Amino acid sequence: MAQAVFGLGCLAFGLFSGRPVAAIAGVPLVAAFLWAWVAQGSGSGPGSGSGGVTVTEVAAGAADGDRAAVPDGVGSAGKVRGLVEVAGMASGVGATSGSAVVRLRVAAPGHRPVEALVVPGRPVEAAFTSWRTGRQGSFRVDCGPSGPFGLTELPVQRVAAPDRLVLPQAGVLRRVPVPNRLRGLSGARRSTRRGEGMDLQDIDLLGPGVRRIDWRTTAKRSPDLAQVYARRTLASAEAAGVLVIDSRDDLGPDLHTWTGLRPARVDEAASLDLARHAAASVARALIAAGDRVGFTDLGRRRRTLPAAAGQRHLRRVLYALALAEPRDREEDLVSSQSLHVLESLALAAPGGEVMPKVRPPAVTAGAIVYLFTTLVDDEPMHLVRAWLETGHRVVVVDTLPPVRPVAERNLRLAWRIVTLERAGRVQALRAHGVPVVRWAAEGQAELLDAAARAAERGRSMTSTGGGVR
Amino acid sequence: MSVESRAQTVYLRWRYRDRPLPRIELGVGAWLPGWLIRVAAAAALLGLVWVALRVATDGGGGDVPPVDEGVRRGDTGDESPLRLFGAVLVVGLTLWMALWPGLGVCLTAGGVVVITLMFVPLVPGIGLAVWLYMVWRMGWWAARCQWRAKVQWRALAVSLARDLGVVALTLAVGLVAVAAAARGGGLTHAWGVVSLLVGGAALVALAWWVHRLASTPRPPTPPRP
Repeated sequence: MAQAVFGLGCLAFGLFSGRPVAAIAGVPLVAAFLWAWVAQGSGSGPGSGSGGVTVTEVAAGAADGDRAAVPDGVGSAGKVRGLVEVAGMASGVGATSGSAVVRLRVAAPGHRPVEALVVPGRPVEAAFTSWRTGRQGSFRVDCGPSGPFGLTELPVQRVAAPDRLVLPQAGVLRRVPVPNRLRGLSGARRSTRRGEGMDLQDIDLLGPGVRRIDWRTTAKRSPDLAQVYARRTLASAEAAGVLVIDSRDDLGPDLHTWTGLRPARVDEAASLDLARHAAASVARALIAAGDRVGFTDLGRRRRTLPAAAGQRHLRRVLYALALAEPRDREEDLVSSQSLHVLESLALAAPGGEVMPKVRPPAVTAGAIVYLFTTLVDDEPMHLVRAWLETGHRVVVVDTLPPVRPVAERNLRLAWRIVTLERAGRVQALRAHGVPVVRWAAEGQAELLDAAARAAERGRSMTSTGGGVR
Repeated sequence: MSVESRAQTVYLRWRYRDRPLPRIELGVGAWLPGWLIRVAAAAALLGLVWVALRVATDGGGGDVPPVDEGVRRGDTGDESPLRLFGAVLVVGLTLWMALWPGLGVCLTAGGVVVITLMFVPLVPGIGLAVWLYMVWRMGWWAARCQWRAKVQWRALAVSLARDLGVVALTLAVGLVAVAAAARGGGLTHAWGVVSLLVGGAALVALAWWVHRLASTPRPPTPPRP
């Protein structure tokens, strides 16, 4: 409107002053206003019509032009693509006069927002990269449509894509450690007990409980069938594993984010992301071997996921891993072990506070326990000790990501203390025969494979050898 | 803290400085950066005001006298204060357009140019009027895009097409005025009639638009977080 008023003012000024040049200055402004007014249509007012805007997340790997939305809000880590569609405004502002201009502001968690001025009616592709797992936010779009020549400015519309649940990607592991004692009478593994299996234990005389007659050996040793020889096999069994995630804290590579006051970056994995990835990989390896897997979250008082096998259960485990997250950030600020470390540097720590104890979760008898933790406090040590005392085999996976150096002297000192304490805990665990695998380092698959071979060597020394008696 | 440890802290802060957050990738097709629009708007405004002031003070020929030399020199007989004022005006408006583009700078620049048009002949005046309109439109675009914004080329092209149509109409009106002036006599009268007609139509349209704006219920604005 100011444009039209100024143009009219120029016309009036030129008219009354007798200067046609001054009046000509107002002609284009008035002409633009008249054009926009006509284009808007007689049936609509300047406030009517709305350019509807929608933002949809596109499934990963979708080809250009494929607008299949992400099913059930489940996504994957990596590049996240979305489509922002702004419909042309109603009643002629965009339809009859051509396209209006839309001002877009696209934002996403952990990213710098980007602004654009576009023509509505054609979808705009947006993408960002996030390596975080679990519950994550998605695109947020602010849309401010304008009419031709900027005559009308509609109110800004704000829309957001629904939050995503990012499942962890399971890596490929060759072998993983299994329990000392396998259980059951059926499964994909070889037991040390005699039973109905495929693995030959020995060949002995036919007796009670032995059914498979070995005619070849009988023909060789007793052609007159005075003695009949039979094959004795080892039973098959299954292994059970329990994945225990320490989700009490989520520590990133930046020490400044450990207090929870600054959010962690989304383009680098934090400890909980590494824990989810490690647990998903171990679960996949166990289920691929025909074993059963259960899941427990230390950070939340929830019913544990009972051990089961199969691909559907693996999917269930992945969902449970994605939903494992620290509690409310305010609680984290009080109970976070990382803050406890910083308090040790005289950051106004009130005396007498008791850190909440973590009760060892119930573990299936005979199961191997995989504990995924950052080892920044002593609670995992208590848990491991309790499990060892009950005869469980334990494998500890260190999920702390590589920490970047910092400039602040107090933080460097705090990190040095944490490093020394963690080294002591790792040493204590290894002294008790508990393998500690650092997931952020290279060769974690080889370490697990070596631990599995060591476990098998230990188990084979107690089993009976095969042969003919 | 010793000097060496302070220097070491400064070095470590520089070496381990925070990386900027990643940016969202936006696919809008062919696009121009927002800073280019702002720089172009500022450059266009700078050229417009400078040329307008130069033509007004030096005169462009014809029967329109430039700004009186006595006015320029003032009581001291020195022209430099006026030149200084002009320079400050040009630089100030240019920086205003570059840093805070919007309606304010467009109105101010428009007022300055319209005043200078009093001392400008018809033909260059038509060019300045067209230039003023383009600066006004570039100012509108610059006000709506940040330095790092992406301006879709298609949006610019559509708007440019409409603006060229308006420019063509302005040039046509200007040609009519030039033709009337060449015929001689009655220019003011003819131009007054044209101004009345155009202004009257615009006033009617403006009144109708304001009436519709007041009567149409607006959707509630969302609360600020």
